Amino acid sequence: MTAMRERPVRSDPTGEGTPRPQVRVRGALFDRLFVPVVLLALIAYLSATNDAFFSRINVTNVLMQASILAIVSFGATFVIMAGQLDLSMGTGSALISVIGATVMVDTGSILLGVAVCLLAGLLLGLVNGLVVTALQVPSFIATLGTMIICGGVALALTNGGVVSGLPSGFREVATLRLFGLPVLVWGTAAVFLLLWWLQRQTVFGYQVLAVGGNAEAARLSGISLGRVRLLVFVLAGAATALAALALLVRVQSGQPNANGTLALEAIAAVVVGGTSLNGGRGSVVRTLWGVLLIAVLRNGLDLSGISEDYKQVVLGTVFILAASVDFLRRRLVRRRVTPSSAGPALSTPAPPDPAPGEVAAGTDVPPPSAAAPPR
Amino acid sequence: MAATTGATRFGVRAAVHDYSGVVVLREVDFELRGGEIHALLGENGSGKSTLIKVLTGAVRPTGGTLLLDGEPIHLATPQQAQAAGVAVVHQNYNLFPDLSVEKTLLASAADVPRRVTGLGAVDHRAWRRRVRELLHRLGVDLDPRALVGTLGPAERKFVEIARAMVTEPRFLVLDEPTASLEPAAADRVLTLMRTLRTHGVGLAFVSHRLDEVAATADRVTVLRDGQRVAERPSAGLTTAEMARLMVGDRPQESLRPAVPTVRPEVLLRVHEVRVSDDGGAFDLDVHVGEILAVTGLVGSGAARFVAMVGGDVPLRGRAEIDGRPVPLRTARDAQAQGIGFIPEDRKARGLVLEHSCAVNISLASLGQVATAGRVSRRRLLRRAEDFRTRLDIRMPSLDAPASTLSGGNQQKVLVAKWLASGVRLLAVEEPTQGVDIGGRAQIHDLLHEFTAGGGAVVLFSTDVREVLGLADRVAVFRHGGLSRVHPVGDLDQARLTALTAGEEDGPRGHGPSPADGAFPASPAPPSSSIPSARPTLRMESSR
Repeated sequence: MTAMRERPVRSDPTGEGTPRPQVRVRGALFDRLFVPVVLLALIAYLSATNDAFFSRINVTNVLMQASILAIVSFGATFVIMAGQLDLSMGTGSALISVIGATVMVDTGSILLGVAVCLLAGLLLGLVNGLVVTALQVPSFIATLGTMIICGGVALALTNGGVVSGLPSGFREVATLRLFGLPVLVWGTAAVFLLLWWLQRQTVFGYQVLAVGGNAEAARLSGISLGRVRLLVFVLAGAATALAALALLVRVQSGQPNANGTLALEAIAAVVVGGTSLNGGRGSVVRTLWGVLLIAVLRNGLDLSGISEDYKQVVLGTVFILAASVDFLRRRLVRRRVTPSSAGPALSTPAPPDPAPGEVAAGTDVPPPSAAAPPR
Repeated sequence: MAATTGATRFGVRAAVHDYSGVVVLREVDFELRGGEIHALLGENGSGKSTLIKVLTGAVRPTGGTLLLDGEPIHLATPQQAQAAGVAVVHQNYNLFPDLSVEKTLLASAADVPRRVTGLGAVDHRAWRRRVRELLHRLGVDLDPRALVGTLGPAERKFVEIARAMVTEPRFLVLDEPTASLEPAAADRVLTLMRTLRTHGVGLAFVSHRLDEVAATADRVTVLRDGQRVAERPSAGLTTAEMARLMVGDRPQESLRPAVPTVRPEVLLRVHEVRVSDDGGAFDLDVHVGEILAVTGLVGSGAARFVAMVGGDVPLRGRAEIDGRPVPLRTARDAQAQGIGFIPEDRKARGLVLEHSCAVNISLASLGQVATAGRVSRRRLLRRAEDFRTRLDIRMPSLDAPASTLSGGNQQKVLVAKWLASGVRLLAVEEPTQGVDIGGRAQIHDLLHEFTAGGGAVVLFSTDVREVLGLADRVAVFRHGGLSRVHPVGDLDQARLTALTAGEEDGPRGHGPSPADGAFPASPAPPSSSIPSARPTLRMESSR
């Protein structure tokens, strides 16, 4: 009776099973293409209204600015797909940048500094993971704790000042370009490819989604929940270390006060991309779109000359709108099913199909255009 | 109570309902009158639960009309049902253990006394007075300030009934109100129901304990396969007749293959296992090629034993596989020993519903479709396609989420998951619950095929026909321990039902064992609460 006790998703006996999968596939396609389409529309709008947008300097600038958020968000994607949260990535990266800078300044060795950064990141992830798995502390609380600790340690180590005077070789890395783009952008791309591979191609990637999708089913299938959860936090720790290195490359100094809200922005980027906060659904690719959308939007606001304060208002609004798209999509799909289910199942789907896409796109495009007036 | 307006009637005419094509109610009439107790009988899957949901507004029927005093009404939500004077007491406790009785009732009160001077804050003193009154009227001795978590099972049921009565309904629907109660506690709940009857409330209740139905109900409605097969006064109706009405004249299903597949080798042997603190320790063997059915009432420990074998809960005792001692504490242990577990609640515990059928099929054996940690999507899909053909799993596509499948096909995906990982022993809970007839037969065939291929199955089922049709041996559990293991040839429906209820057990039975039909038809002291002649046992969900 268990199955019967559940209320069916769509209670109408629409019948032979033919219409349902079709609607579902369209919904899935819409779901996958929504953010990229909005991104393209935004890019088109910005390049049409502003000559500076597509200049080489500006494009490089957008990518540079996006890199730190991107690296952190890619790592956060795994944590969120496994049904957890990691709030410590922001202040964690600040602390690691301070540690890395100190080591480089004191020893003059870039390699040693990088190694220490990575070790510190893995250690942070391990601590988070152990607190969550061994002590059974909810990840929100566990990483909130380490977030506060990291921020405090970073300030204590430096007395609030920045750690500058990095070896000159490190400065050269920052200015190095390959095929016209800074090393930092290539590094971010490499991180993306690695994590994409890990998520889509490996057993671990499948296990992360299974644990986030239904932990009980995963446990009864012989997947070790503790191991998977520990590993996603270690992975997030590694991403935190890479973000710290990216910060060092960009500003050439250890910054105890940097990235205070980075972890939250990363969560926003992951959700904007369409990864479910409930876990079990999402991908690194989606996060890439989310990060790019936020970066381009922020750049567009910069170019429009809107004040920093209002920029925050617009960004916050977009986060909420993007997160509500999932809900809107489901409602639109359902609305489309109900009328057509009265008649023969296949007679209606074709015409109303483009409508929801337009409607939804229409509802979500306003933010950028609303931001445009003060240009 | 509010039901002072004489004999009113509430019910449904020609109720039809189906869940995505599976018809569960066929033109069912049901009427409940004020001041009567109306029992609803039927096997698992006969449509009782759905009918109750229809009556309480939890499910909108595909067809049929709800009638209140002869007038058609609409109950789209439980709130509307409440407004119409219909309240429900669900089978499982929906209580907050940290709230007091009076606060629990406050949460569902329609009009709450408020203090004018307190800016509309709840007048707790007045409320406590009202709760006292209500409990007094119900004839229940409960302290309104007691925390619900500290109450015994019967008292908790009282609180649930009192909560339903706070809205002063004219009709009360109770889904298995005595299911998990000891005989003495069940009696107290039944007494409360009789008290409500004298207040003019119309009560409908579901029960599998036929003796309490005979002793308590005024009228009985019997459902079978979604149809009403009888509606008559319970006076003069014996428990044996009730059982016959529920089961019908169906011949015993012959599900077993012609050639027995059991081999002499022991696959799994457990030593000194305890399934509860007070139950005794026992040993049990499972042979290669055997289906061992494990059955019992709620709290008998049968479900727990199967969960232990499957690694869902740690085994208390020792286990040997092929004569080799092995650990059996976690699902991972079980899997490492070649044991797969199929839980009763396949949606919540078996499948990752949002994920594709293909991924679900390989969930327990991702390593087998991977080389050096890299999953080959091609192999994943090919394997899923393989099982789709072999087990005839109906799915929109390999990429379709598991949630889009019917119950029977979801169950097949779970079986495929363990076949894919190459287990030798399956611990299965209620494999065909919520599965239509065609799917049932196919799943039974799969289990036979599995044992014929050298596997073994430990099956927990409360469906007597399934147990008798599938098993080679039947282990009956009672009072938190193993009672006896019977070769299936020694059993028939009546005898197995009696064994699980404890009738034919000398030393440990808890009462005399009158023959079927020996119960007086009306107000007998239900102290001999022996559930007689139940073709279907109740679900066990105590974990």
